Amino acid sequence: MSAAAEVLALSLAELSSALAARRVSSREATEAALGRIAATDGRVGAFLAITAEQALAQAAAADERAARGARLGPLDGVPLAVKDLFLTRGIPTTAGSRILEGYLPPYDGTVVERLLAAGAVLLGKLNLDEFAMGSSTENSAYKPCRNPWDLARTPGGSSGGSAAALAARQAFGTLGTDTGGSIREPAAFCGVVGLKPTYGRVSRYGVIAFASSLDQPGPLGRTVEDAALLLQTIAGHDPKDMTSSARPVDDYRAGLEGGARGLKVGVPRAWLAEGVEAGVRRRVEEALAAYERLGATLIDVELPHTKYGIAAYYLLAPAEASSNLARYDGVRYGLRRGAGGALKELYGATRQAGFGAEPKRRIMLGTYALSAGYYDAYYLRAQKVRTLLRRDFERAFECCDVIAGPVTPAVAFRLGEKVTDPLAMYLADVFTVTCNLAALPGISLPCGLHPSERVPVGLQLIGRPFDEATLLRAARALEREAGPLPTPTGLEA
Amino acid sequence: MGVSDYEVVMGLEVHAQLLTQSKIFCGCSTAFGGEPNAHTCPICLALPGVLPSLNRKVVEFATRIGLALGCEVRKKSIWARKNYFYPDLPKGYQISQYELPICEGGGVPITIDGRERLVPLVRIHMEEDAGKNVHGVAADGGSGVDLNRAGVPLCEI
Repeated sequence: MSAAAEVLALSLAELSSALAARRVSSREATEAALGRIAATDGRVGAFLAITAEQALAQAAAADERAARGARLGPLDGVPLAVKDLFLTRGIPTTAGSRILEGYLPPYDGTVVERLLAAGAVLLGKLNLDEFAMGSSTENSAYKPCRNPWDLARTPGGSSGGSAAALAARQAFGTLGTDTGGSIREPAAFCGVVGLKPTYGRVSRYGVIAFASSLDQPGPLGRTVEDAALLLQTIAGHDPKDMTSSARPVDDYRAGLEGGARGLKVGVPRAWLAEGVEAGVRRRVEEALAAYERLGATLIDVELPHTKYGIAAYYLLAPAEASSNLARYDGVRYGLRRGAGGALKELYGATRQAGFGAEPKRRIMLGTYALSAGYYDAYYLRAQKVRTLLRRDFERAFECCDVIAGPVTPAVAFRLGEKVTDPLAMYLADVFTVTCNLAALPGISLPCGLHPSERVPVGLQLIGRPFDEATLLRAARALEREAGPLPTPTGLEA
Repeated sequence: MGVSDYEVVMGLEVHAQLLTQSKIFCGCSTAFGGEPNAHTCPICLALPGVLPSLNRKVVEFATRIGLALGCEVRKKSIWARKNYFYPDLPKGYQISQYELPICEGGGVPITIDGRERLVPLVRIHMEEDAGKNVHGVAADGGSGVDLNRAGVPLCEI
């Protein structure tokens, strides 16, 4: 293996130690990552913008700090990348949409500020489904993203680039956002760890809004420890986000190796019934058996209202999106068409040209669900379902510490397979939307390769509000037991 | 029937600007005048990704008005979005209050023809002002949008 390839094989935590011990420089790690991106991203399509010059300058600054013994922390000098939904000053931020093509924000979002203040090196912006709407990154207005395990398959979405870049070893850690599964599903498809924090744990200021009561930024990493390190840096109250929690941030690394002995794992048996593909079910059941061997207790739980989750989600999320996307009107920034005519023409031409099919679909659905005469029957009723769902989980958490199940009903599908059937695409979110609706944290971690398809299967753990520490500890216990996945074979080095 | 058989009933909807130093959801100055868009920031410009931060002085002022007018001042009130498209409304919605406004009831005492009357109030709520379209100022004779006023705090009485 070349020196660059050796560096790229390190986890974020391993790289951090190597940087601290000055066995590797940030410049080497950054050049290795940029080289890997240049060599592979033509085939993967994870990056929408690559900030090579800036990254190398950040790396140089990190190396200078390391030489003085003044490293800022575990992320100092570590090359990362973020979903193109995070506002980054002076770096194009598109939300995967033509309506923001070339848009240069004048500010950094809070989470980006925290990463930069920690000394992280920003490699660029990652591909996504347009405005975070989708489960395959096929809705990106720019280009599709491909799964490094099998380039004919999707990496999942909407944070497809965030998961693919990790699996392709283009970055040591990434950030995504999760509104209905958009971190956990691509993490499962690409065989990496993805964490959706509790709503309010991480600031949404500077994250382009899709559904304000459901969105949550979160980390993806090749290992559980990597995800914990990233979460540690980005979590915590932000006065600029009134929905962010003032609750103190736990030390996520402290209990990480605590193991699963005595852990009470709730299993909603209905989730493993029909509808889950056999190979996925087998790997999930094997993971549950592993937890028992590790000293955990499995407890059957019932979450009777999860069957209404998709219906509630696909009313609430589009409703909120229809309002959040109103600002993209051609007046102050972004694409402008139809100027010189009547106001309606400006709005109509700009949004017709700027939005892709899926945002348009959801704006219309959402506007309808909120309109007079339908508000009570759709939006209000969906909110009530949300309350019932939350109660299902509260009841389950009276006897469990975490709830375990599949992330998705099947493994990564092929590009083009579902994109013409939006409903089929929506139905696959059945296990992930419940977390967002109930404002709970959820993590996806690899639990093996599919027996015949040889692409990753993900296990989902859902935790109590603000109990990311238990989720991470439980995930780490399985990761230690199962060992790492093999290197993805879809890409040659 | 003659004119004297009819009783005139008038309803008033009054918007009063709250004289805080800063806007309702950001730290921009509420000062009148100034170059167009001089008193703006990412929040009141509704750039992608921004979120509102409530100015507590606005709540204080609305509470004081409510107390002065004998209203029931609610400890919990709800913010709502009024969605519509217009260039002087940068978010495409106005943050206002719909169900559960901050004040309900109360009244305004007035003296008419020497008699003291109490004009009953229905409600008082907080909301943000929109900006201003200025017509004919663009090079091609088109309109400009000045967002200095966008986000100035109002009470709707």
